[in-house]
Amino acid sequence: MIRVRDLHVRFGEVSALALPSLDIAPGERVGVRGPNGSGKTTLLRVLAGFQEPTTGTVEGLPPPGRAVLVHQRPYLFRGTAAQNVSYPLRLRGAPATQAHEWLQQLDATALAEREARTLSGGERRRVVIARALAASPEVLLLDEPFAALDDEGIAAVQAAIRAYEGTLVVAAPDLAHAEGLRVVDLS
Amino acid sequence: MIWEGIKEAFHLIASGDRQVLHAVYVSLFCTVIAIVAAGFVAVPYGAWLGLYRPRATRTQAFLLRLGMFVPTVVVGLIVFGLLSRHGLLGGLDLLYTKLAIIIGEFLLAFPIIGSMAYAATADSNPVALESARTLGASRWQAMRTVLNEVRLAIATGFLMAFARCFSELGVAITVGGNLEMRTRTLASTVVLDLSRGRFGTALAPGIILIALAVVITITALSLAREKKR
Repeated sequence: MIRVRDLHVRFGEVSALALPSLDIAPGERVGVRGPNGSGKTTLLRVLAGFQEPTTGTVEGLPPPGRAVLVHQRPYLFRGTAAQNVSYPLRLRGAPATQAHEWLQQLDATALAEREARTLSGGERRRVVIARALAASPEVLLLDEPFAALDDEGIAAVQAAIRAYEGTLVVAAPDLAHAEGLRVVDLS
Repeated sequence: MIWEGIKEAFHLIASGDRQVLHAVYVSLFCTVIAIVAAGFVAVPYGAWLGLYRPRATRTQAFLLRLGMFVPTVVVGLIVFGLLSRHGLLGGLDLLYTKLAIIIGEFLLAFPIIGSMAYAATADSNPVALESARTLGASRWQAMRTVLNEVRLAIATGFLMAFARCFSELGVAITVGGNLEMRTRTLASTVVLDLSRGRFGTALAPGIILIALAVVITITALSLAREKKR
């Protein structure tokens, strides 16, 4: 169980996030909603272990590498889409051939041999979500996963999210494309 | 005189003059070993500073940059102090050997490669490091991943270090001793031959050094073009 209490994150004088309380049970699916600047990305960064709270406590976070954050502006390493998806597989000693299965989940097998730098914004997003799923995370943190996606891409990401069985936290200004989530409003 | 010198220089190169060839060998041998050894230490060190910003990072980065501008003869003096009979490493009897030149050139190459690794990783997209970490990479594995992302900048650092070491004079003369067929490098050959009034003989290694400068400049420009793509 992830327990957040009296969480405040400030950057200098600017308050980036204020969250009195949040509990996330194992396997729960949570949607974090709020306008720009409400602290959605900051909350995900705290949960991923990349941002220290200024005050407050966060308990029950999984160890590094078990909570996987997909950034709002995703980054793909040099190489092909398949090589990117095989990155976490190689780290775990799993066969790199599994990369194609994860790409298939995102309906992105056609992108497998494409160089990452040649992919469009929507294609990149599908590949980074496939890469995140390939890490088999306990907690999956998705920052605006539907941004830059066309209808086909949205459907693919929705299907992948539905199939994912771990704890899920999705952040977006509105959660129109996300289904079955307990909504936390930061506005 | 210049034309005669150029003709003699090309004759020496074309005929495979033993002294010139040996100077090329000594220069290449010492430079390659020095920059490879420096790279093994300086790349991870610079990248660690750039990515994880440990205590006193700014001071360490400043010292690295300072090291890039220390005159080679000063580095030679420091190594001389270490290797001379009463120096800290005097007992090893390394003065006036190729290893002494390698140690000096290691000290020349280290700050250049370290600075480039630091600058390249510090300027890299922070999401690259976080992506590697969040996917389960250790700090060391994540650092290797980011280094692969900025490898062209690192390669440029190696080229700069190669250029500085291959053409340097201060270390080669101070701790190498400019000994014929032993520690004489291309740069020290130029100085010796000029001091003896042999312009043409001095020009031959000079032409090789200029050719190397052309190759390095073209390679650096190609790397810069590749980086922009």
